[in-house]
Amino acid sequence: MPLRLLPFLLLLVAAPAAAQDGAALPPPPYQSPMRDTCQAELDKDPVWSAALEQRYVGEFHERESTVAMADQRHVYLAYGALWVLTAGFLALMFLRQRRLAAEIERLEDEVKKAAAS
Amino acid sequence: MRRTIFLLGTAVAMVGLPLSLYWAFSRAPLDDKLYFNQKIFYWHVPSALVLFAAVIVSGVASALYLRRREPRYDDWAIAAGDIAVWFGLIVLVTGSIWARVAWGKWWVWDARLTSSLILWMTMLGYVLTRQYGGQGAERLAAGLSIFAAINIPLVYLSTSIWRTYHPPRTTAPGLRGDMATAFLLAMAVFAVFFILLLAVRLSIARGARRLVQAREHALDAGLLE
Repeated sequence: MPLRLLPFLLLLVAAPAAAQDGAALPPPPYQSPMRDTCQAELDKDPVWSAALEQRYVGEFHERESTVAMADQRHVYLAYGALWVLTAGFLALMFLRQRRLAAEIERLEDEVKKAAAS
Repeated sequence: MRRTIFLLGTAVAMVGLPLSLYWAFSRAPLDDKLYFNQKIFYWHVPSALVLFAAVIVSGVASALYLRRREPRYDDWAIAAGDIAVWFGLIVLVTGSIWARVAWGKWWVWDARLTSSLILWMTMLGYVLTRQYGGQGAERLAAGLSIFAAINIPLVYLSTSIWRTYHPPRTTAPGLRGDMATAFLLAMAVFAVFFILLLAVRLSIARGARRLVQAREHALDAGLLE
């Protein structure tokens, strides 16, 4: 077998093992006898375990959707930012226009003075 | 005639903007994923429309300016460039708030967000070059503006080219009923608003250029020292 195939073979062997490692549950944050008992009971009945998971996932989604539905802050924040920035742009244009008018007036005065002297 | 059209446009914008808000908040139903937060969409996307339109106008006017060297094209370019910077900022800010709601983060280096940021920074560079670049900076700035306009298709198609968090381009055409009405109304009103802003900013740019020319003529004629 050519040696250059060796890395590919190693990869083929290592990949499923790595995937299995990645899929493993994270270690529990604490240990207790009650926790072990619960885990043992859940392991005995996969159907009950799945039903519990289903119930809590459903409850979690419902709770999250209630929070999302009640959250209106971001919408008002976005529309507020939009109005403030638009008003800022309009104010800037107004100031530019005023500055321009003042410049024209000054130029007219200077030309009039120069013409009179 | 121009004044009448301008006043008519102002009236349309003044009625249309609150009407668009009313439609978005009272008539359009809640989205099934983001619920109330989806309503950011109704003004976020039209702001992006204004950004794109302003960048294209600025880019085309800059190209014409480089080719013909007529200052009137430069006036169009700077007027549209200014609008692009402000509306680009609006798009980025409202988009960031949307991202916080939808993805839980204020910013992600997603292709659409990143390309929009680059577009905005290019236009900011254009405006700053025009503002502080001094004599002869118009041509350099025009190059930046053309570059930004060429970047537009990339920004627009970024959600199709790369895998992105950002919703795809098919989201808006997929709207139905009052959602579609609210969106189309906002798009139409923002288009009118853009034309009005462009007209006002253009008159300021023209006025500023004519003032400089008048001062130069007065100096040449010996009326001023």
